Order: sequence, then C-alpha cells, then structure tokens
Amino acid sequence: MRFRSSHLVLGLITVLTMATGGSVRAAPASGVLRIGMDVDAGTLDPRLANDTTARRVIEQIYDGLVELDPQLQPRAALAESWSQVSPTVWVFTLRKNVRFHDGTPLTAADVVFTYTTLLDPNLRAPLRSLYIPITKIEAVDDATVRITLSAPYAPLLKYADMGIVSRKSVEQMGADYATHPVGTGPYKFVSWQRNSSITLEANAGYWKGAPRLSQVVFSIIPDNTTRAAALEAGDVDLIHSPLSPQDVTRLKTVPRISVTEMTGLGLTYLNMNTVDPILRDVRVRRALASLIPQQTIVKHIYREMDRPATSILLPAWSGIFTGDIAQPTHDITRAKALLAEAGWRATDDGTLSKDGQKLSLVIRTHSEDPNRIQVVELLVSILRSSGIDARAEITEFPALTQALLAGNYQVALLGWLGLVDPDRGMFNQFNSKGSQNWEKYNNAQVDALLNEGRQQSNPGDRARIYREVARIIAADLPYYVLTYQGYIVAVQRRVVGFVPNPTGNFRALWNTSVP
Amino acid sequence: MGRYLVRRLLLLVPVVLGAATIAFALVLLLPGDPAIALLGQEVSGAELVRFRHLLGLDRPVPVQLGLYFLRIARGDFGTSVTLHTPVLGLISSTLPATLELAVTSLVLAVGCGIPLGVYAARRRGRFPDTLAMLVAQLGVSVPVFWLGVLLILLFAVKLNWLPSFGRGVPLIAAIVTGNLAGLTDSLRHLLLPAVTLAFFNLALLSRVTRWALLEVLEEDYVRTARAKGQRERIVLTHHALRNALLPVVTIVGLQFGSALGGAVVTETIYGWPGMGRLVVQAIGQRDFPVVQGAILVLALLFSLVNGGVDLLYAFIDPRIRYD
Amino acid sequence: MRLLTRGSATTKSIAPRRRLTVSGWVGAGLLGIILLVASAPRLFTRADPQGGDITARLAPPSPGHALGTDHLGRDLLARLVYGARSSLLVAVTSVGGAVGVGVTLGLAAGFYGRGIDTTIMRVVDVFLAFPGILLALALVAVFGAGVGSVIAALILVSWTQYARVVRAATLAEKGREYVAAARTIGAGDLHIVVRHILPNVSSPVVILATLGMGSAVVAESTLSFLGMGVPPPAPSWGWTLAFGTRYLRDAPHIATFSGLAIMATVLGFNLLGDGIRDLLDPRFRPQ
Repeated sequence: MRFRSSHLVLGLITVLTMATGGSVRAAPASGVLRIGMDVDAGTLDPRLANDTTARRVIEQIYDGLVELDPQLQPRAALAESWSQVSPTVWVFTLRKNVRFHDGTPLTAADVVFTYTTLLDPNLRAPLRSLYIPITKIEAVDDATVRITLSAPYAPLLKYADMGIVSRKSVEQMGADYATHPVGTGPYKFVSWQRNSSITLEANAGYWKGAPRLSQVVFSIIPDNTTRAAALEAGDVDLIHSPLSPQDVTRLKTVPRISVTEMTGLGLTYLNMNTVDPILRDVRVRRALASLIPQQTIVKHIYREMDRPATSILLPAWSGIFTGDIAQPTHDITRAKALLAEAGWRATDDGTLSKDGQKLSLVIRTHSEDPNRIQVVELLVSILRSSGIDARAEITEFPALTQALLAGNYQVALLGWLGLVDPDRGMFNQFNSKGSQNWEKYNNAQVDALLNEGRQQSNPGDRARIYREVARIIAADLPYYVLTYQGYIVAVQRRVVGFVPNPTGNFRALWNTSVP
Repeated sequence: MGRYLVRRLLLLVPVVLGAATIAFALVLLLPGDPAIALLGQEVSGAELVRFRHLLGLDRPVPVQLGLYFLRIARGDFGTSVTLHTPVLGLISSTLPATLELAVTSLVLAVGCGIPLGVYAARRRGRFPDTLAMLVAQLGVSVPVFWLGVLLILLFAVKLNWLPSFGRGVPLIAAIVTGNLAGLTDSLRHLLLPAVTLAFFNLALLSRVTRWALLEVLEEDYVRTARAKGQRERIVLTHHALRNALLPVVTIVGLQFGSALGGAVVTETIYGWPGMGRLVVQAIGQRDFPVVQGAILVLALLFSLVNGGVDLLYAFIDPRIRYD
Repeated sequence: MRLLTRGSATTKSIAPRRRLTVSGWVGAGLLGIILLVASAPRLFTRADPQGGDITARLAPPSPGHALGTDHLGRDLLARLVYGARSSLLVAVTSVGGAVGVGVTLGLAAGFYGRGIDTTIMRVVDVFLAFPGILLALALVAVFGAGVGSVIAALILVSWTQYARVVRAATLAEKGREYVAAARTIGAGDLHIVVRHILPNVSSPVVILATLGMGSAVVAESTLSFLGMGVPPPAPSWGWTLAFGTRYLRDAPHIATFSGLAIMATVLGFNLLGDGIRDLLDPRFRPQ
C-alpha cells in the first residue's frame, strides 16, 4: 500500500477518538478501594518490611498478636488476652479457630517461628533491634505463647503488632514467600505488578467477620503531585502522607474530597554532630537553634501541614508529652551573643572566625524530599547573612546515611517515623551505645534514664523519666527538633468508614466500604 | 553481505563486554551501601560489615569482576537488594512496558513527523512551511519533563479526559485478544506518555524529512522524471521520497535508542512501570544488582538496535558501508 | 554521521551560502542577549538572587518583582539572570570538553587507521551502548553532586558524536592530494593533522557543537529534575524549573519563565547552528 499521509492522519484520528473514549470516564466499581502510594513495597514478608507501602499492605494480609488503636494503645488481635506473670515473663493466649489464607490453622508454633526467625541475625530483619530483649519464646500449648525477656521491657506490647507468618508456608516457599504472602488478615494477596500495583481481595473467613470491601488495589505513584492529581481526577480513592503542602492546601478546597489532618508519629529534626570541632561547643549548637525561624518555616514551607516542635517529646505520647519543656526559640540577638561568648569574632568581610579559622558549616539533607531541600536552602542563606560560612550538601539518601554512619558530617536535616513509644524515639538515638547515635552523644545521666525507662512500666514513672531526658536534650541539643510531622489522609467522600490512625496504619480498611 | 552481517555481530561481543565492565565499575564507584537501602536508617555498623561480606563486596575488585562475568554467563543477574526478587525477573516484567512506550512514541513520531516534513517541503518557502518549521524548532527546544507535567495538568486534571498515571492493559495483549475495552484502556493510559516522549523526535523527524526531501528534489533524476511528464505526486512518492527516506531511516533507528533513554523521565512523571524508572530508583537506592543488570540489558538492546540500523542501511543501499 | 556515498556525477550540488540566514541571525541575536545577561547581570536586575523574604514566596509577577518570586521568596528575575551564567558555563565547558576529547580521538582514529581506529571505535560503541541520560545520572551519582560532576558527566556522554564525525571526515581528507604533497616535502604527522586536516574537518564540529550546547542546557535541567543537577543554593535554571513544576498549579510563573529561559537559549543555539550549517556545509546533517 502506498505511503499516504492522509491514511496516517485518519489512523491517528481514530486512535485519538478511541483513546479519549466519549470523554466520560467510567464510574469506579463499588466495593473496590484504590489507594495511591508513593513507593513500591520492598517485600511482603512482615519480618523484613522496611517501607511504608509494605507495612500498609502487610497490615491487611497479616495480623499481629495485638494491633494499636488511634491512641497507640494495644488491643487484642490474634492474642485474645495477655498477662505479665513476672517482670520478665509475658504470656499470650491466642484466639481459637483462626485460619491462614491457605486454610491451615494458626497455632502458637507460628508465633514462635515468627519471632525466633525475626531475632535470627541471618534474616537481617530491619527492626530486629526492637526485639532483642526477648531471650526466649516458646509455645506452652497450641494456643499459648510465653515470652521471656532479659530485663523488664515496657515497649514490648507496642511492638507486638508484628505480623505473624505461616511457618508451613515459609518453610515450603523459602524466599518466594516475600512475594506470595500467606497471612491471617482481612484481605488476601492476589497479585503484584512490580512498581505498578498490588491487588488484594477480601478474606471472607476473617476471624473478626468478613471485610466490607471486595478488593483493595494499591497503585504506586512516586511523584507527590501526580498522586494528588490522580486523587482529584478520581483515578484513586485514598492517598496519605507524604504529600506536598501545596497539594494539601488545594485538596482541601475540592468538594468531593475530604482531608483529615492529625499529628503523626514522625518528626523532622536537625542532627548536630557533637564531636565535630566546631559543634562540640554547646553554645554554638544553641546559637544555631536560635537562628532557625521555626514558625516561618512551618508556616510557609510546610504550610502548617506539620507543627512546630518544642522538644523531643511527641504530642502523640499522651501522658508523657508536655509543652513546658522547650528548646531555644528563634532569637537572633541571643544567637549572636552565644557565638561571641564562644569566641567567634566578626572579621572585616563579616564572616565569623576564631583563631584564624572560619565558622564553616555544611548542612546536609537528602534529595528525595523537596521540603527538606527548601528548609536547608533557607537555613544556609540565613546563616550566611549572620556571618557563618554555610553551604548546603544535598545527596541521595544512601549516600547521606553512609556519611552519618561514618560520622562524616556536621549538621543533617532528617526525620524519624513510626515513633510509637518514647523508647523508640530516644533509646537508640541518645544512648551512648545506641545504634542510631550518629551524633555520638554521650551523657551518663541520659544513659541511666533511658535504661530505666525501658524497664519501667508504670506510666507515671515513665513520664517522669522521659521528660527528664527531653529536658536534658533540649539543653544539650544533639538534636534540634524542627517539626512534629502531621499525618494527612485525603479520601473521596464516597468512601465510607475509613478512620485514619496516626501511626499511619490502615487496619480500619476492614470496616471501610465503597458503595 | 553475509560476511558483513557476521562481522557486525561479532563486533557486538567486545562492545557488550565493555559496557558490562563499565556498568560494574560504575556501581562499584557509587558512594553509598546497598545495606543501607535494605535496612534503612535502622542499620548499624556491624550489620553493614556483615552485609558487605555477604554480597562479596569486601573481595578484591578483579575477583569481583571475574565472579560477575561468570554469573552473567550463567544467566544469574543476582537479586535486588531492596525488592528481594531476582533481577532478571524485574527486568523481564518492566522491559515490555518500556518497549511499549518507546515503540508507540516512535510510531507517533514517524506517523506525524514524516508527513509534516513532506508537507512543509512541498510548500517550501511559503507560510505553512515556515510555520511548521517554527513549531518543529520549538519542539526540539522544550524540556521533556515540563511538557509532561503540562499535559497531565491539562488533559488529566483540568479536562479529566485521560488518566494521569500508570499503565493500562498491555497493548499487545489487548490487540491479540481482540478485547475492545482492554484496547481502549491500554490506549488511554498510553496516549499522554507517548505524546510526551514523541514530541522531540516528531519535531526532529519533520525537519530531517523536509531537508532530505528538498535535497533529493534537486537531484537530476527528479528533474528527468518531471521532464518526462510524470505527475508531481508520482515524482514525489515514487522517486523522491524513497531516496529521501534513506537518511530518515537512520535517524529513526537512532531515535529508538533515544526514546529508550527519554523514557526515563517520562516514566517517572507518569508512573509508568518501565525499566527507565526502575533504574533511576535503583541508582538512588544503591540497589547494585538492579543497576548492573538493567544497564547491561539496555546496553545489549542499544547495540542490537544500532547494529540493526547499520545492517538495514547496508541492505537498502549496497553502495554504503558505514564502518 | 556522514554518508559515504559516491555521489552521482551529475548531482547539482547545493552551494554554501555566502551569508548567514535570517534565522541564523535571530539565533545569534538571542544568544547575544543571553550572553549579555550572563556577563552583566546588574544591567538587568538589582535584586539579590540569594536573599529573599520567605513570607512572600511563590508570589506572581508584581511591580516589585517583575517575574514574581520563587519558592523561597527570592526574586525570580534575579535567579534567572544569575542562573544564565551557570547554564552557559555548563553548556560551554561541557561541549568544549567533549569537542576536545572527541576531535582528538577522531583525528587519531581517522589518520592512523587500523589498530588505533578499531580500538577507538570500539570505545565509542561501548559509550554509545548506554542511554545518555542514565549514564549521566550514574556518573553524577558517582562523582558526587556539583557543577564539576555535571560537566564531567555531560562530557563523557557527548564526546562520541564528535569523534565519529571527525573520523569520517579525516578518512575522506586523508586520501587527498594536499596530504600526499605535504608528506613529500617532509611534513610530520602532527603538522599535517593540525595544520591541514583539522581546518577541513572543522565545519561539522562547529555545527554539532553549537547544537550540542542547546542539548547540554536541557540535559542539565533534566538532571536537576531527577535530583542530580547543579545543587542549590546556586541559581540554576534546571533546579528552578524542577521546583517550578512541583508548584505548577499554585505558582505557574516559576516553571513558565524558567522554561522559557531554557527554551530561548536552546532555540538560539539551534537557529545559529542551522545558520552556520547553511553557511559552511549544507549537506551535513547532524543527529
């Protein structure tokens, strides 16, 4: 056939007409919930999961011994009841007649298997360090599990929401288990298109009763703006943090969409290397903190999606949090005085120096978060106008983490997520032997307090202990906490019954419906 | 011809080996540790050391390189550090998506670019020509990602005609099964990304076609054909176009290569689950096995395409031996 | 890539023009303006590109800010004016470097032939086996963020086109009479290559280089979009456009104006490159 341009044009028109198909978008199916996530899950094995999407999907496929309610209190899940028979021994009684998705019954052996393998260094479970105090776990009988600890461990229940895996399936499938999960949860795994979508369907035999949705589809849309646009266009029904502040502001104005904001379990902070020659002096750290326009940053860069932080205590830790403990606030005069007191004098061109050395600071953060990049840009320009030779260094997360591990940094803007318990937010970070104490903070009093807090179950004592730690941290400033991260969920109004949880978990999907 | 074919194929081998070595070296030089990608911020110094040992990263470099080649020869591309699946599986599930996008965009570019170029050539010097070439000039000047975001905002959000992200039913599957609904879904997801990717090539092709055609129209045999009284349309298509298409064909072949590369940005914007996006994420997360495997596969593909273009060229005109 | 065809004996050749085309002049004019902006920024703006009032961020154009403000409240016109320097620097140095490497290797390959030629061409093939943007991305990741890294990466990604073109042209020139003549009077290899061959193969290089600078500007902005370009707080067009696309709905002016700046520059290089091609060597067609 001859090459005729008119044929091509005709063909193109046909294609375009089909593609824009009568312009009316098909109404979404009822009973199906489509969720937009920012990253692809790494694995669907709950013991190995290390990203938010994996956790959200795993929450549907698996149950833990307990689950955490919106007030972060544990409530019964696979464990019907539990008791602490001695300071270091806990006994959990399992629910009867629970089955895995492949029909096999749940027994204590599965629980023992889950935790034993979790603690095995060869499995390389990312959260292993949270479970180290467990020295022994055994099945007393098919429905009873006994956990023995090396020392009293208050946060144990908070971490007992770890999904329980099917021992038989894991032993049968080996590494394939990570992509063909078998759990006891409200939704069953159907399929996983890498970097595209994960599909789940209802588990009619769920122990709590059949879930109200027939299908849940997680779509992976990495770009924040595109994800928000997808929600607006009706391509997905639900999205949550991380979100761009300007998208949140706009979504609030869309009538079809309901936006819920609450304070989450994360914080954004400046990590200051306490063994760096310049930052070793606590006055310099306090001066730095006093130069940070916290309110402005929260208002303009985060558009009040997050809240200004006062200390290392999270508002979500009810009973422990108090706003009375506060870090240095924005005060330029005090900053200048502190720097002068520390011996930094202004030279002719305005830069500060001491003993012939300039006050040089490199502020690092990771390139994946545009808000943090803006904060660092702003800080650098503020510091420069105060005479500090400041510079930004933006790298990808792995390169930044490597620098942190090596202690090869001065100041880094970072965050923590999922801080369900003060121990989670303080122990590894500030204990001199803590595995995430990159800033090499070393304070014997804090060490003692943190060890005590770990073992102390009495709420009153815990409050006292952690407040004291927070007070010391607010004075010593190995961390300057910038914001308490907000947790935001934006959902189409036609979705009924979704209750957001500040931990970010989606356990509420069991009771959600899309008419 | 046969000898040329064999020679060309043989030349592929050192090229691919060289590319594989570079891929290996690049990954080795990347600052950052795969253990961090795996274990996140919770990682400790001891875990890191243990993990490096497990991955064989503490062996001397030549040993690592040798082992790497041995594994590749066996077809073992390793396992992704962050996604816990075999790299080959990841590649085989994402490559079709990228190919679908690249090929569709190429079809669009060729289907619109060449006719546009012909049109402009026929109206040389007059207003339509100037306008078309101006648009084409703009087309090769606009950054791809800007165009992509604009298109999403206009067509997906403001007008709500097309989906804003993701891939629909795989196109080949939809065509083969004759499923009309599936085909519509497939095309609707494909349209915006394909247009974004095609834009630059479309503009380029129209310019090249116009130039090539004008060149050829000056040739003697065209004048002869005209003198013999042939109809202008026959002159154009039978004589001129066929010869003008020669350089155009080369460019189209090379554009396939550039489409594969350009897919990287387009896939990121549209959430298209292809290999470009996979590699960019893998680089960011220091997922070494994925980066190495994907770059190797892409290099192989590229070399094959380039070699294919050369062969096609030699086939079309035996006088030409691009060497 | 130069077509090595034996031309028809009666082909009417297209004579090179004597003067630059109108569009070539337009391109030169555009570039002239941008060059002026880069070298004398104070002529165009008094604002400070580094300082800004964050409470006035993302503001649309107004009497105080001719093009509005960016995401940190800095004057957008100032950011773009001072960014011109950075973009042009990246474009010129990366192309300059690529030309240096490519021309040298191309001359060597074409002139000496055989072993050297095969080796160099295989190296070219290896480099060409990688999708450009991915290689650039990986290289910037390896070198670490910074202007130098971006330039080095762009050089490594783009030198091959110059090598190929120069090699083909050198092969053609090598057999010419003046080369044989030069040899008979005892001229050394280096002398022949530099004084005789190089000037005759330079036209395609000039054309490619001009067009290449436009591509370099776009490449830098693409790398910034992927998070790997010239890092802040330097006023880079790429970063501004990258951030601008995130705020496209609330503050479209950022992406619009920075995109226009990039487009104008690339357009300038393209028009000038086409004009130079018509001037020097109309048969040449770059890829």
